Amino acid sequence: MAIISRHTRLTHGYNTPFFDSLVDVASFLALQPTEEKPDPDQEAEGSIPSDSSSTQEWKPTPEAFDKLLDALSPDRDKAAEEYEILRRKLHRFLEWRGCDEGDRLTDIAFDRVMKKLDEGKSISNLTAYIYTVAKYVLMEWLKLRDQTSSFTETIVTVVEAAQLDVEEDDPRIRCFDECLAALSSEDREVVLEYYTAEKREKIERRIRLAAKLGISQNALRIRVHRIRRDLEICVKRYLGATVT
Amino acid sequence: MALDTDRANLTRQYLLGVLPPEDAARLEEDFFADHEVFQEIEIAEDDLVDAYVRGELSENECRQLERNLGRLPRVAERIKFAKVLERATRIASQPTDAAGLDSANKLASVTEVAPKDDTSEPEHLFSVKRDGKKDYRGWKALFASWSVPQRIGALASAAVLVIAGSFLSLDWMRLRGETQRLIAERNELQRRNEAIASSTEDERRRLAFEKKNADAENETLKRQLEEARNSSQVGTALSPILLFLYPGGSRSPEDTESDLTLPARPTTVNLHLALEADNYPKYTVLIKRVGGPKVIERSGLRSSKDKSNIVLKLQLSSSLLRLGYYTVTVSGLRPPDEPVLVASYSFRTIGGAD
Repeated sequence: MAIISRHTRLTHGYNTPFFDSLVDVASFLALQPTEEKPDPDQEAEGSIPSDSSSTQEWKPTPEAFDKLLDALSPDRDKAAEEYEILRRKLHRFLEWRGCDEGDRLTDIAFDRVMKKLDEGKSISNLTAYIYTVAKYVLMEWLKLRDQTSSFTETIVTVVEAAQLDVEEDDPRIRCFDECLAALSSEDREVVLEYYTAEKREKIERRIRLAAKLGISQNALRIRVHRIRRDLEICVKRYLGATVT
Repeated sequence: MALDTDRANLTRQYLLGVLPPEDAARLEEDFFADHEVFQEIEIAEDDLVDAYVRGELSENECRQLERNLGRLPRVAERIKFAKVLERATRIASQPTDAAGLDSANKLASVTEVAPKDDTSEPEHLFSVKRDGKKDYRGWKALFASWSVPQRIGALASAAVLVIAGSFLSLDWMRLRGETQRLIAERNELQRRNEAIASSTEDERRRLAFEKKNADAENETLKRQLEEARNSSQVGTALSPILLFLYPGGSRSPEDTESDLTLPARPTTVNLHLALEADNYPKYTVLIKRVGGPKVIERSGLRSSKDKSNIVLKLQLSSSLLRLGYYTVTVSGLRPPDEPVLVASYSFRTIGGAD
């Protein structure tokens, strides 16, 4: 693995974090220095750079980002909000399609869109255009991944499945208690009541809860979803602070 | 916008990664264009994760979720959160107690700030109180109560102790090695002393034995000499006469006269001539009367050891001797060289025939 150059990695599909880690280790052991020469093919559409630090890759500029925001909305605040939502959608889309490098590919997709806008291209439906670019980026990534899919998938599946358990002494439990206590009493009641019981009884409790709150079941779902997301964010922050 | 059952199934299949590509593309176009559709899919992800945690998915669906979403760090964390949430709701759904608290209020009372029984909690490095301050337990509480300078001093003292201990250990090991080496040397010296003592004892015994033999031989010669003297006086004994001469004519280093008493009847005279050194393989002995002819000359004589003396021995008849003074010369022979005078002796005969 150590002797695979960046370009070879691109053309032969060794472009995954797993093999990147191997190359880093090999470089550290001085088996073979990692080639730092930029790939001349990175400029072309249809080729995913091995990392975003390539010297020949187009770099987004503040002007290009302004053009993107302008294309989203004339109102800068609304454009920023749209950008965040669009970025979130792009990231989820890539993940739901089986990509575990959502952050990097999202950046690549936005870079390509900003590059086109910066070059003066007129895009009528920016959201659809971004989706199309994201599909191409995903296709390129899947093509590279599939060339080593049998080996990579086996490793990833085994590792991830074993890490989903939560032990009784898991710090998440204590963090969750703290975050739950930080909710308003009503929100706390809603989320606990919503997730209590199972199957038929759960459905009935949710109907009663929605009626008690005077909202539709769908509204209840959305509200619980937001409370849950807030709890997850809180637990994540608390967990990070606890570990630190 | 309510999500109908068909849409819910489509969404679930999409999240599990088993939706046909065309349907998946349509769904994606929808949620990219419509925020509410996107939110519905996110909520569907919540429901799917909950169903997975509560065991409401089929085995096949579980594998699909683990393969498609479970390996994503974000979803893995969501699954763990869902398990924690399920645990909390399970506790909250415990039967009401005597106070009549319903599930929500009971969990609310549990999660409110309340002193917890230390014996019911697992021992942690620290626990975070409601006010954010850390609560140290056990021996760590003692350390936590110290000020920073005290902690630094304690650490420095501990470091000094460790370093000093290390040096002492090294020194002890060195001394131990030195002690072992000295013990080995002492044993070696003892062994050598014993060997030397043993050889010295052997040498002493050998010398004692030789001295004993020499003393015995000396006694024998004295006895013979006495007998010879007695026989020469009464005329009956014919024992050989021993005449031992040192260079210069003395019979011993202390004696000044070398007299030979001639017997009345002829007898053998054993003449022993002491040599100071034995430098020649053979010798010639010439006996001559002073002012008279040569008495006897013997060549090819070899030296011999007599006790601690090197001597030349020869025998002659006493009848060859008359009263008077005689000289004896010894010459060393080393062919083809000429004889070399080695020593000269003298003696006087008394008594006997003229």
